[in-house]
Amino acid sequence: MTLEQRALLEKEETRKIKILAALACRFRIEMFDILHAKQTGHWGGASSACEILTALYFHRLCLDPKNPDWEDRDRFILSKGHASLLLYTVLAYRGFFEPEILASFRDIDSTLQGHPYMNKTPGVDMSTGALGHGISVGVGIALAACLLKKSYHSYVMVGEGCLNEGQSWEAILSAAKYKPEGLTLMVDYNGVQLDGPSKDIMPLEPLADKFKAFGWNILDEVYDGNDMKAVFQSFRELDRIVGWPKVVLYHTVKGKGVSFMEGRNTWHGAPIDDSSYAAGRPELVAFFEQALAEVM
Amino acid sequence: MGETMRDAFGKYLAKLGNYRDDLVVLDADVSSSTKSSYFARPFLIGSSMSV
Repeated sequence: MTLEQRALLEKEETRKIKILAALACRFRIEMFDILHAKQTGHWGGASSACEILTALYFHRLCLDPKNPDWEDRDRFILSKGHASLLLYTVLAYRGFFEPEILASFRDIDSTLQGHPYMNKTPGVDMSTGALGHGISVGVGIALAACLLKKSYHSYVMVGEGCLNEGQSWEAILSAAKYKPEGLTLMVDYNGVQLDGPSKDIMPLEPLADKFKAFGWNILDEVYDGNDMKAVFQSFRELDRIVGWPKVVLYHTVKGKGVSFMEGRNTWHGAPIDDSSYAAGRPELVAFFEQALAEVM
Repeated sequence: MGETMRDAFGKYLAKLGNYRDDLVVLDADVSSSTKSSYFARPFLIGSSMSV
């Protein structure tokens, strides 16, 4: 590659980072509107993982939205299934279904159930919601790729609640044994879970050391999962390290984007009341406009 | 919508706590969903959760 080509690529990537950062901000507004309208659903964990899922679906996963069951597609399992609205939003704008359908979130008979349901929603690879199942299924899907001689990649996202579950650690053991090619675990490490701060409910630290001790290939750096540039860097680093399975930790902020909701377990899944909506939405709009100005 | 089943459950559990010393409620990180949080407010012991 010549220096000129390299510079051009870098310029293109910088632009893509800015566009996707703005897109993530836009998704937050859409989710906030829907959660307020529905008076149900989970804001905290949907907001914290917004940049990571946006980057995954618009930059990394190999998919065909018109053919959601394509055998060779990359797989993604949202083990923290309560962040379903984020997954639905990203899937809708990626082309799996019409964004208008998002308004039916959590309605009876809607294709968009409160927690992801693989038999109803195009693009959902695994039904989740009961925490702690995602890594097990991810190991299975990745091993299936090896058996079937497929080259797709499998990604699993967990939150701290998932990692409280014993089953997660059984799956982490199995993955270290079978070393399934193409399996990557992403930890949305926002420090807060349903009933309080994770360090009080069930401390996970030293988490990176635990993964190392279990024989996983972990990225040395903990990335800022709410910074699109850092998320892109983590992807590059994932491609650079050798050996499977891989895991990356992202520090994120629960409820990101609305100052008085950030880092607070009370906004894990509480309905967004009218006054909080009125106070919070302008903050999200301001972030979006700022991100958009960076693109222009 | 009337009172949800889980709210009714949680509130009644808390009420029972006033009458029985031997009633113990256990929960792990989902008390705001199971509504055992109603019981936790007056009777919380040995936990780090904030109610």
